[in-house]
Formats: sequence, structure tokens, C-alpha cells
Amino acid sequence: MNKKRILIVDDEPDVLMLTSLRLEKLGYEILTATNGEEALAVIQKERPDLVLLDLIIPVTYGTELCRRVKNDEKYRETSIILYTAHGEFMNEQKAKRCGADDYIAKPFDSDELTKKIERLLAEPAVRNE
Amino acid sequence: MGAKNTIEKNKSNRWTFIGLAITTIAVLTISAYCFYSGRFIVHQNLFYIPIVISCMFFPRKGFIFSVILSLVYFLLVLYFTKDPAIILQALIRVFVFVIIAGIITFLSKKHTRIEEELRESKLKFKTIFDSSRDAVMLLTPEKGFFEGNPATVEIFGCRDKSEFIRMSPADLSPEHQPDGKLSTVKAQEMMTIAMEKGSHFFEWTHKRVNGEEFFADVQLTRMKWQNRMVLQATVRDITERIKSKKAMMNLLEDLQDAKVFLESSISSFHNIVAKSIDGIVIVDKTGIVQFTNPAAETFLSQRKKKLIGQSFRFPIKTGQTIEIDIIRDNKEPGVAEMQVVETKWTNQPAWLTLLRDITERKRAEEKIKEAMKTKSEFTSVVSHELRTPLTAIKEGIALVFDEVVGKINDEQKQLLGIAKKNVDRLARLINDVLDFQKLDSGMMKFNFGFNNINEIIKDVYRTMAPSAKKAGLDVLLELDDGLPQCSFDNDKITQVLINLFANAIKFTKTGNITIKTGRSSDSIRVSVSDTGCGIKKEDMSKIFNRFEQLCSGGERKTGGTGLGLAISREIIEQHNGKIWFESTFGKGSIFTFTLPVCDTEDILRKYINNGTKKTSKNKLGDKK
Repeated sequence: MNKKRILIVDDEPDVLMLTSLRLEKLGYEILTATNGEEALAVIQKERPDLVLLDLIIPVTYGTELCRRVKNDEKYRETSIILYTAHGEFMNEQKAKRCGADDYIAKPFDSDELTKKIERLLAEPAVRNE
Repeated sequence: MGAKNTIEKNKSNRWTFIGLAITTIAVLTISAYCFYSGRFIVHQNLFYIPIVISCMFFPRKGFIFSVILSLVYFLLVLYFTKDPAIILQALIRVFVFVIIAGIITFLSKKHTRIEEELRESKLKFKTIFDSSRDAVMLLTPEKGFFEGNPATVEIFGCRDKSEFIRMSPADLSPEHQPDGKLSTVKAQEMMTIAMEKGSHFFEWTHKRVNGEEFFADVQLTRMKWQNRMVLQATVRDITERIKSKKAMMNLLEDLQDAKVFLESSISSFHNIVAKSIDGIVIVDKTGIVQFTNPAAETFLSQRKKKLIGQSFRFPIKTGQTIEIDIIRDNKEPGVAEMQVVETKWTNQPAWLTLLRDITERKRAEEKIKEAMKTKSEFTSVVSHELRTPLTAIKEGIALVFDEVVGKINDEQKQLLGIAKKNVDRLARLINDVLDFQKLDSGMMKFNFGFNNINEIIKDVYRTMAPSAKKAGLDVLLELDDGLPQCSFDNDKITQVLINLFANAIKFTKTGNITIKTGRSSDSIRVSVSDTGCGIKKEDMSKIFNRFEQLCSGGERKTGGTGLGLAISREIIEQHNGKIWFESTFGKGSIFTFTLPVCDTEDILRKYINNGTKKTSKNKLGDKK
């Protein structure tokens, strides 16, 4: 079975590096992007299974990127988890309204994040309906 | 001539007539005798006696009598003599008789006429005197009253005139006059003045025979009465007049008072209106301005054009506040709040328009809004800037701690565990500070909806049970299944429950934690009780204060932010609920909150209100 591919979009290199490290160790293939345009290009080219998307990323706002991806027939199946350090602007409902599949606030609990990722990657069939 | 003569005239007439008859017979007899004896000259003068008497007392008839008597004399002469000289002499005498009789008659008649006139005027006077409604009396300062008309008798309440005449002026006055003077003394004074001046008019308090007092106008007039100076007094009862005068005076005083009051209220009204910093405009129902105060003139000034008489250029809506652009005192543009209420103007329904300059308020609001925005932006940036490195720190520690990057020894793991715990605490603190700031500034938004409190408690239980178990505590749920519908914000109530639960775990060493639900009359009740250390009496008042962390057993437990209960209280109060606690130090605490039960209508209203709140906030935002 192919490794599931996860795109992490964050403008904070440290967070990007540490999160990548953990998820890699858990057996995922990790792609990274530090701004919206780059992220969109990666999504179109690499077709990751899941995107861990920071809300405030340069060039394109996270929610905007999320909408764009989810409104595109081709990429709709891509799971998106929004995450942000701006907890006061975002919550699960809002994230879901933007099309995201889940939401987690920074600083996050690694276990919680991995659980969410596992759950999303395990149930694509359900979401396709 | 006196009145007595007039009265006794008829009587004297009769005696005069008898005397005249006797005289005439005597004269005729003497004359006849004299003529018979041939003496003609001497006794003819006797004829003057009856002629004069008759003409004097009986004018006209006396004259005719005199003429007849003269003829009788002449005939007597003719009878007794044929001497032409004597006849001629007698003829001349007859002429003289007639002329004298005529003169006397004329004089007598004139006199009679005067007398009659006098009598008539006396009669008139008598009539007036008797019939006068004013009491008229005559008196002298020395002897008092000696005459009085029927009105006098009546006014003093005497039985008849004789009783009145027996009275002295002192008998008919109270002891003292209103000015305090003795009546007897004052009466004397008045009479003296009248005697000296000829007349005197004054007010007097009289007393009737029955003792009743009355006010009177008195006119004293000096007059001559039967050759002596007396006083004629006219007394007019003015009690009624004084009464009505008094009533009138009272009425006038009242009117004066009313006038003064009215004038002062008008002037204070004008003063208030003129000095009011709020603009006041009266607009009639046709939309024409009827009145403006100076403030309104300034606010709505239009290049020297008077507002009065013009149509009002703003929409008139009662019960609404609209904002209009105005010109301020310093000619700067500003904003005013306009309110319209119904009023009356010159008895016609009209609109009262109040204009309040809110320019400064708006500026202040803008500043506050800006400050709030800056504050919230600042908090937001700060929290983001804190959370981002925290994420990296936390993840970095976690990676080593979880041995993702290789084995570590127990001591290293313990130290990293402490670091990890404190990072979590810092993260919670940031969240709490942010939450509290939002609640405090009213920026926290609530998503009300029908939720089942029992389900939420079960969720919280599932989340929290592991840490309770870890602390060696049993968790008991006593949930009432028959709870009514209740509207609340799921996330916020979860936050409160987690907070109460976490506190219970934190402060309980052994025993159990019980979460109970139930219902009160119009609310549902949730309580979290523990068998922990409880709260000291002196600390009870501080429990809900922000940044308050209590020491349990002298040792400060780590891990709290000190904001949990303050936030919980804010949240519950925003739900129109109550939160409180009961505690016994050393035995445990019970924290209870209530959420109001609401029917559908209430929910709807809440939604609407929530909507309005938001709208008004937006409106506020627009203004700024």
C-alpha cells in the first residue's frame, strides 16, 4: 500500500519542520509549502491525500485556499485540516463552513492531531458520498 | 316760617275767617253809625282793617271781598249823603281801597306761593327722608340723635323711632372701632371734623340693638336745624359690600399669585428652553416649523434664513431616533440625534423635536472603538505571536518526550514532562486571557441553540474521566432524564463544565466527584460537587475574581490560570443564569449553575435580540 501523502502548509519553518518530522515518523509522505500559491501548485501537481493548512499563510488566506480546493471537482476528495494560532477567529464550525474537514488550534496536542489525521485518511469512502 | 305754622294753617284760617267776619260787621256797623251822624271822613279808615286782613289771608277771595266791601262803603255813602264832594272823595277812597287790596293780594299771593313751594319741598324732603333706604338721622354732638327715618329704625334693629331716639351713638357702636380707638372718642372726633369742615365721610363699625355688628359708610353733614347747627348722618350698611370686596380682594390676590406663578413659570420655561443645549423645534402637523430655541437655530441655521414658518426638512418619526447633520456653535459640521414626540402647540397637536448634539459622544465612541480595536488587535497579535513559538516548543519537546527521535532516560523524560506541562499551562493561559478579554469587552459571540445538557455532561465526562481516574477519584453522574428544553451555547457551557470538573479534580485528593442535573421552577440546575479541601470562609468572596488562585493546604497548586471561574461566571451570566457555590472547608465544595428554561417564543426573542445586538454593534461600527 502506498504511503498516504500529507501536505503541510505553514509559514513558520520551525513548526513545519517539527510537524513534518513527527508525521514522517508515523509513516506518511510529507510535502511542505510556506505560502498559498505554492500550496495550490503542490496540490495540483502532487495530489496529496490530506492538507494540514495554516489559516494565516502569505499570499492566500487559508480559508480562501480551502474554498478554492474544495470547490474544484478534481481536488474535492483532498482532506483538509485547518489549523491556526488565531484560535479567537476560528473554530470547528467555521472551519467546516469553509469546506475544511476538521480543525485544530495551535499549539496542538500531537496525539489529537494524529488521531484526526488517521480518522480522515481512514474514511474517504464515506466522504465521497 | 316754621313748619309748625304750615301744619296749623287750617286751624288759623278758621280763626282768621271768624275774626274777619266780626271785624267786617263791626266796621260796617261803626261806619253806618258815623255816616248816619254825618261824619264821613274819620271812620272810613276803619275799612282798611278787613281789607288788609282778607287780602292778606285770603288772596283772590279777599280781593273780591275787598271790592265788594268798597262798593258797600260807596253805597253806604250814597245812601247817607248827596254831597258831590263827599261822594267824589268816597269814590277816590274806593279806588284807593281797591288798589291797596290789589297790592296786598298780589304780595300775599306771592307769599302764599313761596309758602306752598316751601311746603311742597318740605313734603318732598319728608318723603325722601322717610322712604330713603339709607338710614338718615339727625344728631348733635352734645345731645345725640333726635330724628331718624324708618330705615334708621330698621338698620339699628329698633322697635320704633322713639326707641332709636333714646339711643346714644355709643349704644349703637361696639366699644372699639377696628383701628382700636374707643368708639365714643372716635365718634366725637368725627363729629367735630364734620362740624368744622361742613361734612365728613368715613367708615364706621356699628352695632345693632341685638348686638350684631356691621360695617357702614357714614356721611356726616353739618346743617342748620331750627336755628342751631346739627349734624345729619347718613348710614349705609356696607357689610355685603365689604364681604364681596373681601372676596374680590381674595380673588385678586389669588389671581395675582397665579399671575406671578404663571409669569415665573413662563420665564423659567423660556429660560430653560433658551439656555437648553439641546435644540428644540416645534413643528405643526402640516410640517411647518412653529418654534425654535437658540440651540436649534444654530444647529439648523441656513444662511440667515429664519426657520420659523418654513417646512421642516427632516423626516418626522415618533419613537425613533435618527441622526442628522448639523452645524455646531463653532460653525463646524456635527451630528445630532433627533427624537420626535407628540405635543400641543397653541392648543393644536404638533410635534416636539429634540435635537441633541452627539458629535463629541460620537468622537469619544470612535476613540473607544478604536482603542478597543487596537486592544483586541493587540491581544490577537500577541496571542498569535505567543502561540506560534509555543507550538514549536511543544512539538519539539513532544517529539523528544515521545521518543520519536530516539530513546531518552527516565530523568530526561521527567524533566521534559515538566516542560511539557508548563507549555500546556501557558497555552491555556493565553486562551483564557483571550476569552476573558472577549467576554469582558462584550466581543464574545454566543451561538444559542437547543442542546441536551445531559449529553454535554456525558461528553465532558468522557474527556475528563481519565484524568480523574489518574488522580484516583470516582466520578458519579446523577442526571435527570426529564429535563425541559433549554437553549445555550454548547461550546461555552462545555467550557464551564470542564472548568468546574478540572477544579474539582485539582482540589480533591481522595473521594469522588458528582455531577448532578435537576430542575428548579424555571431553570435547569447543574452541580459539580467534590469531597476536596473546600474553601476557607475568608476566601469565599474572592472565588470568582479574576487571577485568583487559592492555596489548598498552604500549597499553591500549579496548572491554573486564575481566570477559569471568572470566565465561567461571565458565560453563565450571559446565559441569564446564575452560578454559585457552597463549601465547607476540609469537606468539599458544590458548584452549581442554572440555565433558564425557555419556551420557543423566548428562544425566538433571544435570537432576535441577539440579532439586534449584533445589528446595533454593526451600527455602532458604522458610526465610527
